[in-house]
Amino acid sequence: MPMLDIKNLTLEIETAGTRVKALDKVNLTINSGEIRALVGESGSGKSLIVSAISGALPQKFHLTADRMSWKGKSLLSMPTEERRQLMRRDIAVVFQNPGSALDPSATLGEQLEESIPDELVEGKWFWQRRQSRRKSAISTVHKVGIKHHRHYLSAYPHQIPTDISQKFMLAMALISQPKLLIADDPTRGMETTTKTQVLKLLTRLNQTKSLSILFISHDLLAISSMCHSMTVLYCGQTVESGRMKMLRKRPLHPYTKALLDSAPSFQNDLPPKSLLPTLDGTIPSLKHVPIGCRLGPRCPRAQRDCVITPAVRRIHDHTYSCHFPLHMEKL
Amino acid sequence: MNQLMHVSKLVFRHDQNKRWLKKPEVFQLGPIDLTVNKGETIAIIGENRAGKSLLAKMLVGAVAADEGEISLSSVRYNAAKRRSTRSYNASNDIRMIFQHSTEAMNPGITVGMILDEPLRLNTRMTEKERRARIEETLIKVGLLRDHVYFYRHMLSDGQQQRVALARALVLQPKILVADEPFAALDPSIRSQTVNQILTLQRELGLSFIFITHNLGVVRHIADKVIVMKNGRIVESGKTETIFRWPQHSMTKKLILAYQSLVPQQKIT
Repeated sequence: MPMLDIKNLTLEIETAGTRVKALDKVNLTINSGEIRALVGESGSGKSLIVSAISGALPQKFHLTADRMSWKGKSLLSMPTEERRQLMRRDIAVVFQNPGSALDPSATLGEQLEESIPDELVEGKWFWQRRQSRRKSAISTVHKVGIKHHRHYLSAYPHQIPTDISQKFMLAMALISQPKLLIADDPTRGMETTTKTQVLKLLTRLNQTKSLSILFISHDLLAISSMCHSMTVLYCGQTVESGRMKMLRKRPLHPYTKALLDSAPSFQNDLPPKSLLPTLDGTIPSLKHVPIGCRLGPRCPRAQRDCVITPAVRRIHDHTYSCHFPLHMEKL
Repeated sequence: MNQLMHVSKLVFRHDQNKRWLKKPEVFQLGPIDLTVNKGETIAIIGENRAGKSLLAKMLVGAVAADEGEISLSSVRYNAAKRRSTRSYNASNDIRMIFQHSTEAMNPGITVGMILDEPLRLNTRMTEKERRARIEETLIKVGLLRDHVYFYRHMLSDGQQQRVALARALVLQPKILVADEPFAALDPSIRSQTVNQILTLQRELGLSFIFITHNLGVVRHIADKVIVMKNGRIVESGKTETIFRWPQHSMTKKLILAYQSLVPQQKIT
């Protein structure tokens, strides 16, 4: 049974009398012990999905879903208190802007110790408990690759560089030993060496503690090195989803292909300095989304039928929504 | 020779004065020697705080150096002297795209005015000539003439990046320096920008120096790679050589980290 199961999640935002569908029938499942990647460019609604799962959406947004459940329990009909407990213990979220997501008025050590759940603290008396908190804070900070714990634990968020605060957000998420980690662009702007460190840490946690991870990013190199499966999002629609290997080998949707093409490292036979294959145009803004398949105006294979939203089709565990998919003759 | 720029013994020192019981923070960049040929692409890689951005700023003359000489298109400049720096800045042969290129534009004025400013300040062109040059540059980077009337917020990310490129190109430089030009861009926009730069290089014979963390792009477009650590160049050479036979430990670390991400080639 999947851990997190989302079916037909639709999110509508009301702007100036009209309703805009920021997310349009998004499907997402995460099995236990799986690393799933959520890929999409900016404005595709990746972060909205995160806030929808964590329940951090403003009241004005209209959220509807056929199914949105955590281990069989529906998240939508759950009482607020229970949902908060769930978010605290089982799901941990790493938000996108680490600098602004941290509390500016408390030191990093205080914030980290605060996020340790009570049942993980050993000892009976307050001094024992304090020591135990301190100890697990230091060990977690070391685990994510911050060396000078003495300096950084007593620092305020504005005093630390961005890459440290990114790692720190990760430490705060991992310290409560969650079952699912939602990481929203944890490696953005990181240099290659630190990035591999973080990815290795996540992979190790996945293997040893069977932590499920929803890895949100548009860095395909990082994704393909660690993720088991991938869901591609474009403009609030799930475009394709399936096992990483299958998607790499045989992307069915033109957008997935374009994404894979955009990383020159994937093509070994690409001559240096040659032009990269790209899609024309830019990502449409939410006010001007095209009808039907939202990739339509940019798609090289678009035909007249593309003004109708394509239904989700399935080949084994590979789902896609496109009228004219690629690589069909081989299947 | 088609040597365009030669930098010798460029040094920058940053030392905070010693305060009570506090160790002075010392950072020295260089001495740096560098040669740029015509039409060449050079990538600068290295860890954070290695002085990459500082080097880029010093190359364009935005930060004054403490020692050293730069010779640009067969004119020598003493980088340490004030007056010399000023004449260097006025030479228009080297231009820069800043790290957060979109935030480095004035949101209060139109794109036309953004592009007009460097022309007005650096050349003696008449208004008509300037206008013609701006339109020509806009078309060159793949925008339309009408974009002159647009403000920054009306453009998408990719278009803003193009405007930043146009601002650097409007004075028709020979060398373009860019600090992380691809970092903030989405994959599809990033490959558009890469293509744009490649075509411009082919058409205009530009030399291009850029800083990046994305080694995939480096491998694709760079001719030469410079590896920096703690303000020093620890290794430099042809891209293929650096990627296949890295010598210095820093280079090895970076390349290995990159290789571990890249899917290994399979024999089929």
